[in-house]
Amino acid sequence: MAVSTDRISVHSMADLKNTSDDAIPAYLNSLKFTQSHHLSDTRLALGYSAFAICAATFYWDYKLGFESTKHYTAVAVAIYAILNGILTFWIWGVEKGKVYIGTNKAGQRIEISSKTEKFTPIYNLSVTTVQKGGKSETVSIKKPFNAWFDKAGHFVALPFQQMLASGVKIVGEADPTKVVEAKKKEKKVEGPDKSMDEKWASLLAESSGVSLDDVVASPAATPSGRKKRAKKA
Amino acid sequence: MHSSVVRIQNVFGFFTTVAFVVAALIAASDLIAPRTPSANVALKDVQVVRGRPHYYSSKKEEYAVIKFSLSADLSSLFTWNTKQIFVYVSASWPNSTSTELTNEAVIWDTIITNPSADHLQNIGPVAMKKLIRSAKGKSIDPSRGKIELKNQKAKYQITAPTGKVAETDNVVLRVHYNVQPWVGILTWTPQIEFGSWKKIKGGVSKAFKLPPLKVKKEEKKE
Amino acid sequence: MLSVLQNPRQAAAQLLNFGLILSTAFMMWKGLSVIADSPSPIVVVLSGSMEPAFQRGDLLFLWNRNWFEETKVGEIVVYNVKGKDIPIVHRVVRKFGVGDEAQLLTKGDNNVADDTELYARGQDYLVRKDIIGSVVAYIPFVGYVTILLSEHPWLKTVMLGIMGLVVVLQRE
Repeated sequence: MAVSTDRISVHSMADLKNTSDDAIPAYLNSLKFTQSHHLSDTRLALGYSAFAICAATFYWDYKLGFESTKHYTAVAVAIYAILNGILTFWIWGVEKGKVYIGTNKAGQRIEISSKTEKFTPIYNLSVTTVQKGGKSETVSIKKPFNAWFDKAGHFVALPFQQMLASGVKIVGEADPTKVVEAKKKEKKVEGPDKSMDEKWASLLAESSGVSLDDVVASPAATPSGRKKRAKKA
Repeated sequence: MHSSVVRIQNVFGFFTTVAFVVAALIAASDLIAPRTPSANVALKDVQVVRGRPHYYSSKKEEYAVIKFSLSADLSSLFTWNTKQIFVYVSASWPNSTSTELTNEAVIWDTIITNPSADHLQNIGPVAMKKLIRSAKGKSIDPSRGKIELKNQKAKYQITAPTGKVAETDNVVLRVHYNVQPWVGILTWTPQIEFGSWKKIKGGVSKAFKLPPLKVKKEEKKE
Repeated sequence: MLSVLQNPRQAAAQLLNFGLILSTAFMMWKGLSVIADSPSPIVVVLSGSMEPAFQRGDLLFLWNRNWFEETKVGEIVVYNVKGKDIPIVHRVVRKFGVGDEAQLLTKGDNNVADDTELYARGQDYLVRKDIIGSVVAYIPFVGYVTILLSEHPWLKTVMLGIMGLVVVLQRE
């Protein structure tokens, strides 16, 4: 994944979200996930059939005039309204912000929805993993956009991929090199109840790129910490 | 707001929405203003002549020349949203087959503008100055809505498609008005009372019969 | 932004957005047309024959159904002269008879003469079928944009072009 040479405006929420949304299928498909397009296909089918009805109405109205075709036009307007209603419901109720649905080779399905709040530059991802047996679990990832966009507006792929790989188990399994210790960042925030020694230790650990869990035995982090430790060596 | 284009779009969109809401409120304000018009119209004189009713008519036909008197008080129809009131007097008469007033022709009309619309009238500069000065300082001049005409000659002569109007019976003169707002719904003389809008009081003359064709000394009646 | 077009579904979806905006506007116009039973339920005043009531650029809303009563004397109607495509907005001053065969005569408030000269050769009166709607509501000035567009047709192309560009490039 090369750095995109296209620049976007960092002040445009729509651009930030759309570029990030576009990066997800690009990344996951490169990890051999098979993308399912049935959501966008249905949406395109609904939309284009509504458009086709409109084109037909325009055509017969243009050729034959209003008086002779007004009953057909009335029916067409009604059908168009219904199709548009279904399309709106589809986008709002069924798609619900989903940007990617895919299955990996092991048969596990992943569904990712993205959301942003107005004027808050934080990317909210809701990732649902469905195991082969039907069990599903949902993970929620929140990251500010500046984690993978630089000041000029270029999209930097690496931190984005790391976020996905660290946050979602099956992505991490498919691309283990991108998994990083997210916990290091969380620990940094817990400043106040740390002792002076612990603060020094965490600073040192950060600068040397070693996980704090390697240094301090923390019960919550132990299982994954051990695995990562081995890989790092 | 990440670019000037988007800012301009947003401002323009907001402006349109506000303008639309304001227009809707103004139009709705018409409904709550009470209307109590009254009018009195009476026939003064009528003649039926055969000839060309207008200078541009291509054929000779029978037409009736009517003189009437009218006194009306339409001042309650003027509100801040009124642009003009079109007042017209029409003569209606039924067909020979029924009593329904199936034929109607306007014999006289006038336009009374609201002071806010005076500048739009098509009158000469002197008359325009006078008109504007008459309403200066007042929002709605009550005398604008009052009409007093005695022995007014009709502007338009009554004809019929058949070419004959002599001795038509049960003709009535009626007064109507059409209120044109600055923004909103156009309204005419109501047939039913609606809220605080009352039907026009009076406004219908007594039925009369058109006289037989006037015979000129040189012409023979056909 | 253009790199996005490598993905055909993406391109199709963006094109659809633009298309749906146009088609929704068109369908709303057609829906209003069908409800009001008039080929052109909203018209712009083009001439000054109804001054001081209407000025050039005013927007008129038409209604072509006689639910409560027939089109009567005093109503302002819009009609096309047989054979010509120009809609004329004038007031009905005479009505003889009832029903669809009733004969109507119109006249502009600002004209001295009635419309007999405007009608087709041999036609002295209008009938209800000739009328494409009577004016029920009015908004001043708003329609002046369409007069500008029709007198300078290149403006129309420019406006549509800008609109299309903005929508396709923005993905809102």
